[in-house]
Amino acid sequence: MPTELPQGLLRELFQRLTRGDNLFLSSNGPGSDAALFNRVCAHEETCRERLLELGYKLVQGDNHYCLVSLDESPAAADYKLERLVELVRQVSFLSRHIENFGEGTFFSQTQLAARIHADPGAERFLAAYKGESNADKLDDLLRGLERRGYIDEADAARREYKVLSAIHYLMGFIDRLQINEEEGEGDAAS
Amino acid sequence: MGKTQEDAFFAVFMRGPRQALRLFFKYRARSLRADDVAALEQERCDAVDIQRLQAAGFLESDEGELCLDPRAERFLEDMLQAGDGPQLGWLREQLERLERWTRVHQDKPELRERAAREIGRILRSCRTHLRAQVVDLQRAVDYDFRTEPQIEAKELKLQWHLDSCQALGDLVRTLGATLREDPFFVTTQDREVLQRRERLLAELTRAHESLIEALQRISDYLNRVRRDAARIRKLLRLGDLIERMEFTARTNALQVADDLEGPALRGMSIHSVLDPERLDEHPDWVERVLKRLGHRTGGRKAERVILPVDAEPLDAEPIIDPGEVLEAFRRQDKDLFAFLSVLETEDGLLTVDQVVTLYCNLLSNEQAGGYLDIGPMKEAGAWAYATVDPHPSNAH
Repeated sequence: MPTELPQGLLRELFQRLTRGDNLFLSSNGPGSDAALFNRVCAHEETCRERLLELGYKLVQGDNHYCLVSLDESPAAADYKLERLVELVRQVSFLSRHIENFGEGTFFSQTQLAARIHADPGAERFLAAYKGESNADKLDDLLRGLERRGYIDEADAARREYKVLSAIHYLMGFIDRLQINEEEGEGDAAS
Repeated sequence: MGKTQEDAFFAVFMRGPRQALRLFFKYRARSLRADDVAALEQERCDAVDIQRLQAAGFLESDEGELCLDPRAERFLEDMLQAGDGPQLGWLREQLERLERWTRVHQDKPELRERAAREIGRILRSCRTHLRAQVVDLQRAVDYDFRTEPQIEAKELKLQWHLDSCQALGDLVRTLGATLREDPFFVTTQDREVLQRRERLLAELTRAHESLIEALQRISDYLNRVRRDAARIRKLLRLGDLIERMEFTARTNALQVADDLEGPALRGMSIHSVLDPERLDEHPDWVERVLKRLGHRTGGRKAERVILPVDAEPLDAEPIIDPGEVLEAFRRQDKDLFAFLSVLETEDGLLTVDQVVTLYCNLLSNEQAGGYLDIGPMKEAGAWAYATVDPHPSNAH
């Protein structure tokens, strides 16, 4: 049975998850996000039912929420695959170069730039991003991830970022990918 | 802690009591008489110094036998890092001493009084230390999980904590069984011993519950670490497959991609100062901007959100690319506001309100802002604006 929601919670949640580029609400998010996350947790079922009436599905992942429109028009298959490849490449790059990359991890952009310096694999990956130098391109990558809500700039002066809970959204797709290992190859990572 | 560091630590105490304190700490597993101390180290500890330590609460006495106060012992262990991690060896030793003294009590009537005192002391010491050991274990587990940067080392440490936790749990159970079943505890009438036994049994129950929680937490951490390690290995492998163009052939990527929905499919949002109806009439304008910014609609119709007048501004890319506007601005000589007033866009000239909005957006654009030199104020009709020179003398 739906219960009453606190005043303004549904409006705040809807606006937060539909406007701008950051479409995630992380439990360790910046500003008022963490508090909003806790409030939504306390009334999750009611929020879900009310949002369903508005045509949105409230998706709850590991310590994060996002919305999916029930009227969302289907995207082309090749576009979806392209997006998946981009996501996998981004997470693979970050996991390779940041120790313990995952929810709550702090990392320094400066140290990351130093680690990828003269790494041909990293250069190939960063070629798709804007900037003259690898440092600029890395900045473009990180700004994009920050805009989308996967990381947050924890300390602008020291150029430190924190990985937000929304990263589990990407990890979920990674977990579902299964590799068909050929005989004689390394660990079967499924 | 090395020998010199131990010397440095004990140097904080006065010379007289210092030697006695060090000796009692060294032999803290048992109680001592003054002549025991002298015999062990062939040095006489001044009785006055020992009394000073008793008065200060460092030592406690029972029928002429002395030992460190449990709190003092704990403090010294922490300071000298002699108490790292769960002291399984210590608890095991106390259990063995307990079993020895209960046998002494049973077999040597002449030593029963002393045996009872030792047993009482052991019970009290166990109770004091056990809670601290369990707390230390829990803290060490959380600390290693949070701070150890290497996944392999983290897994090893957690596994070690798991083994230690299980071993500590076994000792707790053994000690509890001894307290309940040993003939000494079943038959003794010594009120103080019985009281300490009850308190220790209560502490053992609490420790048992805490250790179960700790075991569960360590198991959860281990599962997460192992899952993360496996995921990282998988990610590296997936990255290699993508590089070798084998991603779709060697994985179920097509199936997973088909399930993509929600934020994963939303590359970016844009906003425009142009009339939404004009954008509806010219969908190619949106595609053109997205292409300029390196994105595409993916064959989907863009969702349009019309904000109320008093809505907070979106953090989104404007449909008018600020980079292109600024490049064009620098190629000519008018100041920024005048330039925008005659700027030709897809929709023709901008209205005054659109000029003002775009002017403000450009000045607040974090990438462009550092390159713009703000000059003196000027007026244009109802608006007063700061002039922005396209060719500043101190260009960045």
